[in-house]
Amino acid sequence: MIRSFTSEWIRFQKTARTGILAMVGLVVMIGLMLFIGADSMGPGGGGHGGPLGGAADLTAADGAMAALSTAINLIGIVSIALFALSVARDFEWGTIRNLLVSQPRRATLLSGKLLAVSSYVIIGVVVAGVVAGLLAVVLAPGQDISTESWTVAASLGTLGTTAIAALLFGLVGAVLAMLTRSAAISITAGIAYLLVIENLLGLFWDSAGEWLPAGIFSALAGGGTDVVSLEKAIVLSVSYAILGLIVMYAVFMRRDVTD
Amino acid sequence: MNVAIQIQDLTKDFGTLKAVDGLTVDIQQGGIVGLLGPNGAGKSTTIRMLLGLIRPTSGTATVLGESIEHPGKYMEHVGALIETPAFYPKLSGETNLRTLAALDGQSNARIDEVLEIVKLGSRRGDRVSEYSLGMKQRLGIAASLLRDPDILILDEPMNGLDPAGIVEIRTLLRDLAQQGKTILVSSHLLSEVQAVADQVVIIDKGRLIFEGDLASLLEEAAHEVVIAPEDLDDIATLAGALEQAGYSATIDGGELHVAGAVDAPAKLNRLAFDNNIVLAELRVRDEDLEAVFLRLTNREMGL
Repeated sequence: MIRSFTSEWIRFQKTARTGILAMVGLVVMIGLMLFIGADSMGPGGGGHGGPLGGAADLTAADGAMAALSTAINLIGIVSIALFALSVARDFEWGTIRNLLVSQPRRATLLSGKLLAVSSYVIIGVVVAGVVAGLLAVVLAPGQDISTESWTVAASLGTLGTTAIAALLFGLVGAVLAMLTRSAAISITAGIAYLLVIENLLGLFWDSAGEWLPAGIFSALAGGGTDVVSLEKAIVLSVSYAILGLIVMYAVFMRRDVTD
Repeated sequence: MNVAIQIQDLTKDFGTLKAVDGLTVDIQQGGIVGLLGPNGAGKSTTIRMLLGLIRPTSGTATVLGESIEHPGKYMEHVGALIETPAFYPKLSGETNLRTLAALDGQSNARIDEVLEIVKLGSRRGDRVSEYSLGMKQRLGIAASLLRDPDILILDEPMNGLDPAGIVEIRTLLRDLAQQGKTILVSSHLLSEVQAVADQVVIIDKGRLIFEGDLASLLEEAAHEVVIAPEDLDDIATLAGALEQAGYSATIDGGELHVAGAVDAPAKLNRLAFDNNIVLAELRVRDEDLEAVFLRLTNREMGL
């Protein structure tokens, strides 16, 4: 599996670099909106309950990571794209043939690929988290945002849950890519589900956010919400992950490679 | 001699299409075997099944004694180029090979070696998207050689190569065969493998048409004598005389085609003379290998 990992690591460097830069850029953008735009986001100087978070987020123990956790859906989109590109492009370009000739054990090949992309996503989240923290430390004093409650442990906790949530979003992209064998279709479908479909479902099903993947993964990234506890988010996330992996491996193990 | 690849009643259906239909063939270790057949004959599907990329609908096959149900047990000894070479277009040729070498546990030194073998060393740093089809083909062959395989399976390796490139690849294949490697080269053109293959396997519509060496294939060639009377009005009379003499003759325009009479042109000439017919033409015609191949695979050839 180490060979599969190394191979994917080499070939995915350029794409992953772009993805990591995108994550950092998104977090910087969200961070600036949260901290500098805090006044305009609500009364009380720190903002209260605006669309991208509020005072409670910024002054909480993990306030330094507020930009990161707030950006989870956008980071999730990047992660979906990275995983989808990693899986689908080999079918689109026919390179899956070469890979399977070199590594005929399909489970090993797929595991190495997923681990390599996962490592890039984790690097992206960690780098974005570091940038988010630095940005928070620099900007918070100037905006009269209290940092007294901020702790490194809480920030690391949020960094960890955000990374896991990003991987879960990516897994959705990978499953879609395995089913469709098209990067464009899988990325579009993933984003459409994340930004549109799950929200539309929420209009007809009040508790959709408590059960459906995007809501659950976001709740996990935030360390739980008012409606979804962290424990529930973990259990459901693990369930979705296992289901996704079973589908992906089952399809890949049995599929004829005619591309 | 040991069997490198043993195929037994192998069948692959894609829906209602029978791509490979009960194919049975043995390929001995060492030497170059040409897998021939027109486009759509089932060559690539057969190769993909041998490589574990496609599951057979029924039948079995072994490669180096291992069932194709477990490609992980033998693929470390097999190199392959499958149809059009596929690479990551934005990466250089060298980086593409690095990804495969990493997957295969090969060193970077081996990458240098195979790039030199296929004479692609000077363009190793260029993006694959900037390569010509011939260069991609060379890169594909380089990739297939990375693990120094015992069995080399090349699907249409001459595609896109210029004449000089074809000669180079033929020389390379001969060199590899002399090292004791088994090389299976598929093509839809007999002429591409005729110069290098020790044996040929011809398939059409997924079925085995011929298996053997080129000399045996030549024995399948049709031989005939073509005669033409000076006066076209005599052609029916001449045909009748030939039939009476026990020959099988068919009229084709102003000519008579006499099957299997290649050792008797003098007899035919005398027969015509005895019937007061002057011949304007009398020649022996043998089918060449290409014509035999096309006839066996039910394809027309413009003569």
